[in-house]
Amino acid sequence: MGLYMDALWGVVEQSGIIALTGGNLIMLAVAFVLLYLAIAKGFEPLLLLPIAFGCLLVNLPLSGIVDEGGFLYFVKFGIDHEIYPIIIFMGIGALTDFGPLLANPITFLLGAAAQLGVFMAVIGSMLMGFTIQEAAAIGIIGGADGPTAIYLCAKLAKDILPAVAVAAYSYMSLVPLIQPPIINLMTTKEDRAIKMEQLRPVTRTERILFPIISTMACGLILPAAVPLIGMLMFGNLLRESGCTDRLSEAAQNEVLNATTIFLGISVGATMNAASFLRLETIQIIVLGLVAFIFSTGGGVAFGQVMKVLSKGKINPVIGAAGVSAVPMAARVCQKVIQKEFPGSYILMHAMGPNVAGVIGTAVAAGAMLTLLTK
Amino acid sequence: MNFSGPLGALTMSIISLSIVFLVIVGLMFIMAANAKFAKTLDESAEKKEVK
Repeated sequence: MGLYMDALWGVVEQSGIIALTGGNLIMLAVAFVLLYLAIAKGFEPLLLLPIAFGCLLVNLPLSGIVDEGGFLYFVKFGIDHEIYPIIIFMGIGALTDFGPLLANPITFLLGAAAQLGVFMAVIGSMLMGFTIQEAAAIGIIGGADGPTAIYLCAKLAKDILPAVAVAAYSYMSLVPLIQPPIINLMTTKEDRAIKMEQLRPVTRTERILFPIISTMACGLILPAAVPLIGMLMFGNLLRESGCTDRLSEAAQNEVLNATTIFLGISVGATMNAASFLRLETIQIIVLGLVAFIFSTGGGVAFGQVMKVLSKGKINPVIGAAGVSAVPMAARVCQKVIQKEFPGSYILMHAMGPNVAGVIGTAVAAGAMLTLLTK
Repeated sequence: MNFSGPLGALTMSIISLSIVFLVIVGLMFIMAANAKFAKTLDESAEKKEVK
């Protein structure tokens, strides 16, 4: 009987209940909130749910799941060595149609202008006392590109990865809430009424040449952008070549979905109390919002410039789609226009800057990596 | 390169944003050239088919 009680007490002593700290409890609550947002509210569930569950797993004490030799220790390898975001970019490339951008290359500039928020947040972060590397990792949230944010953060400032990842994906899901007021503030009814010319058809040859040539151009000018841009264009070439349909399907579906699962759960596994429950987390969340707002504003402002230079042919609303939340930002532009002008159709025009924003954010990340690392 | 303090951040930001614009302007020209090159290839392919 004594042996039985001793054994039982030994199990109780080694249980997670005894080892739970206040920090664990708070992080478990954070996990529940993220699960609620993902499941009940539909906030980017494909990423937020794995992130939330990873957070839940890592805050159950004494499991060893993230310690050396544990399951998540090995799964995290893909985050620690920036592998998952790059594979996801391949999947994004396989899903992306660059046709609207190829039909109207001038809208590429809107993808560049929408990176303004990245650099406003970099400056704001430095004013708040972050290091330049952390500031760059925080600023990239403004690009509204989850994989790029995680890639850059893993390279420059691993310590703040959990906060940056949660902020990036939360704001991506809040695009339909954040962008419309900014668009309405920065455009007039006359601006929103502008009907753009129909896009020209884009040939298959153009679609095949574009990923090859742009990879070489970007890669030669900015080698640090090769992993992201290269894999984005590789995925796109799989799609457009017409002879690798099985690979394109796999890249868009099985590979992308599997990598999304492991990326999400790995990010969640970094959300322990020590790294997440800091003042910096709140600062990062606020700075992420600032970045996002300025990115949208920068895109619309440049859209206004392009409207003037094109003598009223370009609708400035599509500038907001330069934020690379594909295709949500483009859909938001369409909804804003349709609210006042039900017959107007701007979605395909907005897709141009939307996909340009993906390239723009990757180039911005490459530029900062080049400047901030040896 | 050492970018320290808010002024360093401003400098880095201006340089990076310039690089982004330059690369994207370059890509725009590449896309325009790409369209012309693709048109030439398609036209010569059509001519070969007609023959």
